[in-house]
Amino acid sequence: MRPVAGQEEEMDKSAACHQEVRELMQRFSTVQGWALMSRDGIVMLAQLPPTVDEDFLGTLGAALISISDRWAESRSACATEYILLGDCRYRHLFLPAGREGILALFLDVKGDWNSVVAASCMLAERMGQVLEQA
Amino acid sequence: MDANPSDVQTLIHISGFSLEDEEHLRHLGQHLVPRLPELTDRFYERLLADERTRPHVEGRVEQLKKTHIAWLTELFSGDYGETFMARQRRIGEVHVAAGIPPLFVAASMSFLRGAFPEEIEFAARAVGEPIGICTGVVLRLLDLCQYLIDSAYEAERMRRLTAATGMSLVLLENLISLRSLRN
Repeated sequence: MRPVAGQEEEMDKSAACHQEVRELMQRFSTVQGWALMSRDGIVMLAQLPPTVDEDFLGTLGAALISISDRWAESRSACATEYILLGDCRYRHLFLPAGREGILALFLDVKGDWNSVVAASCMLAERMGQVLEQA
Repeated sequence: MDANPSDVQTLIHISGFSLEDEEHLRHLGQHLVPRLPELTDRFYERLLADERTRPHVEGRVEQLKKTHIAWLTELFSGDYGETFMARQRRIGEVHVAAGIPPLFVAASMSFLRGAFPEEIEFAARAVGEPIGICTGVVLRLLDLCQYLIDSAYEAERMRRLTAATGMSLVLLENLISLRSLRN
C-alpha cells in the first residue's frame, strides 16, 4: 500500500535524519547511539545502546535543554548550543535540533568525543531544518 | 492546568451535587448567613492561636474576616455556575501568590466541615428538612470548593515551574509520569 501524503512526508524526514546520523557514525566511530526527540521529551527516532531507557532519555534530555535555554536567557546570552555530560561509560551530547527537536548522542568515553562536538552541532542544525520543513 | 471541566463534572456526578442541592443551599442560607460572622470569628481565633498560621493573618484579621464572610455567603447563593467556579479557582491562585501552603486550605475546610453541622442543625429545623440531607449538601459544596481551589493552586505552581525552568507543561507532565528505573 502506498503511504498517504502526510505519511510519505514523515518517512522522508525520518529517512533524511537517519542518513545524516549514518554519515556522522561513519566519520566518528566514537558515536555509539543516538536519538532525536521533541522538546516535550518524546523520542521520535533512535538507535540506542540496549541499556538506555527511551522515556528517561527523552524527558530528561528535554528538561536539560529547557533549563539550559532558561539559564542562557537569564544572562541575555544566545540559546543553548550543546550540553555535554560525562559518566564512566559515555559522554552524552544533547543538541537543540531547530526549535522543535533535540538530538542526543552517546559517545564512547575512550574515543575522540571532542571532535564529534563540532560536527554534531552542524548535524543537529540540519536535522532541525528537516523537522521544521512544512 | 486548571481543574479540567470534565473532572469537575465527574466530581459533581459522583458526589451527587444536584440542582435540588442548590435549592437546599439557598433555603439554608436564609438561616445560616446571619451565623457566618460568628463562625468566621471562631475560625480566625483558631488561626491566630496556631503559630504557623498566625504570621499569615496577623495585622489584617478584620479585612480577612470580611473576605471570608463574603466567600461563605456566596456558598449559600444557590448559583454555582462558571462565575462561582472561577472565583474558587482565583482563591487558589491568590493563595500561591501569597505563599500560603495548601495545608491551610485543607485545614480551613476541615474546620468548616466540623463547625457547620451544629449550625445546620438549627437551620434544617427552621426549613423543615432532615439534618442529614442538609449537612450532606453543605459538605458536598465544600468538597467542590476545595477541589477547585486545590486544582488552581496546583496549576499556578506548574505555571511558575514552567516560567522558572522553561519546560513546557507537557514536558513537566512527562517528567511526572516517568516510571522509576528498574535496578
